[in-house]
Amino acid sequence: MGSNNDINESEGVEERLNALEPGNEFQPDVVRARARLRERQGAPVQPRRVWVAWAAAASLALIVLPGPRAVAQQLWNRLVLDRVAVVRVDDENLSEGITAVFTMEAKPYAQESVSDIAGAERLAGFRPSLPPAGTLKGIPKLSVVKRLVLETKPLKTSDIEQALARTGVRDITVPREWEGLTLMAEAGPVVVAEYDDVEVMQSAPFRMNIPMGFQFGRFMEMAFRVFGRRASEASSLGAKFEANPALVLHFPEREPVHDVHLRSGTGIIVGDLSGPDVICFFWNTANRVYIVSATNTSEEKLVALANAIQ
Amino acid sequence: MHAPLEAAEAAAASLASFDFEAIFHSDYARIARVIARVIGDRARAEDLAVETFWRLWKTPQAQGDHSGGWLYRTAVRLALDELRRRARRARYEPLLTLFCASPRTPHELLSSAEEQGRVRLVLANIASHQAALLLLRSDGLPYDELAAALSMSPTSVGKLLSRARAAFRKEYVKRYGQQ
Repeated sequence: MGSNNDINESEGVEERLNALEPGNEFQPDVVRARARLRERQGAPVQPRRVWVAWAAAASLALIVLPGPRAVAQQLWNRLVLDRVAVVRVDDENLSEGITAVFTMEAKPYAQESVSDIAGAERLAGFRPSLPPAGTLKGIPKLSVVKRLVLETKPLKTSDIEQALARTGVRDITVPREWEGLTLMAEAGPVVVAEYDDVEVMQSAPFRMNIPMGFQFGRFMEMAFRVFGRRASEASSLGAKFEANPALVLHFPEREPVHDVHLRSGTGIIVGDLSGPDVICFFWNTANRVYIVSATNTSEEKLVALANAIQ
Repeated sequence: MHAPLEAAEAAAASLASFDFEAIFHSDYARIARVIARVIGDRARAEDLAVETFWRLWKTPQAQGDHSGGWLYRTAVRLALDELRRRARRARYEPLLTLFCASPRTPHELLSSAEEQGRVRLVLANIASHQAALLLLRSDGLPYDELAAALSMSPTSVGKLLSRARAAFRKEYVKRYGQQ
């Protein structure tokens, strides 16, 4: 009986794994691969690029408005985002064509492995805080991304007008002088610590560069309108972020989100802790933004983790 | 009495005859396909296949008659690490994306094909050594090569494989129910 079960289980699992076959049309390029390897063999150090796929696919938008920390640098306003804020939006029915108007794309970046905390500190310029040994399963693999740059495509006023019109917003005028402007955000240095079931990223505050004179509040108001906020809400959100810049996390309304109390303030947990999927946990201190992704965890463990690494 | 000396001589002879170029040309495509199978991203699979051979090149103790198993093991581990990393990032990445189309689930990000996405998510969430065992077995490695590749006793392969299948099945059912 047990044997039959084993056979059935074996066949069932094999069948599922067979679904992964990449297909005969995949023909790895041996010549190109050898050339790449030869390059590496000739070079003493080659930074890891494990985030390239992620970065290429990622689009990250940071909301901030000029506040007391805005510093003029040439023709750019450089804004520091040292806190995490939450905005819930309804994006269920928006097409990528509409959202692309407000999206930043990450440029390829290098992620360099380091052997220990001292190595991470040398590269990042700050000493990463990690929980005491034994708090998390496994030995952390450490790496550093020195700088991650994200940019919008050059703004097209006609695209913004179309995005507004498609979502029924007709009471906002898009300034002509925005045509062709690009907004740029920077993250990093980021230290990444990968444990068995948990990944901890800690970053210096995010920054955003916007062209001098650009009315970012107006831009954000338009974005919030497109994402379903009422006119008054969109306007007040713009004002709020103008007064106090922040890295804004986007939470779809269907996502379970709740706050937890930490020694340093408030943390935000996103996801269902009772389910099997990865959950995310965000918090910030005065000079660091933390992002944790984890499986098989609990609110208690996450709070203990955050308190242990502050 | 002379066994250690003989073993050392045999190892030295094996290393002396090790031909990295030949191994690369004979095994690269196979290793890239093994990785592509796990992560479903062909371009990234080629990156990781190059990384696998780079590690072989700079690890003298991996070079020799046993390099085939070593390559397999390293490739599958790199692929599984990548899979887990993607599963985690797929979770928080959309949350940092204020102006993005509907956030995709980890499953959707891992693969556009439903069953492939499920299998990858399950592999990303069971123990790495069990996932590696299942993948290498599924790739056709016989028990003795599995044992060599994963540094385990040949007599325990059957039992460990059975446990790995049970773990896979349990995780699959937990996520997707009996199907």
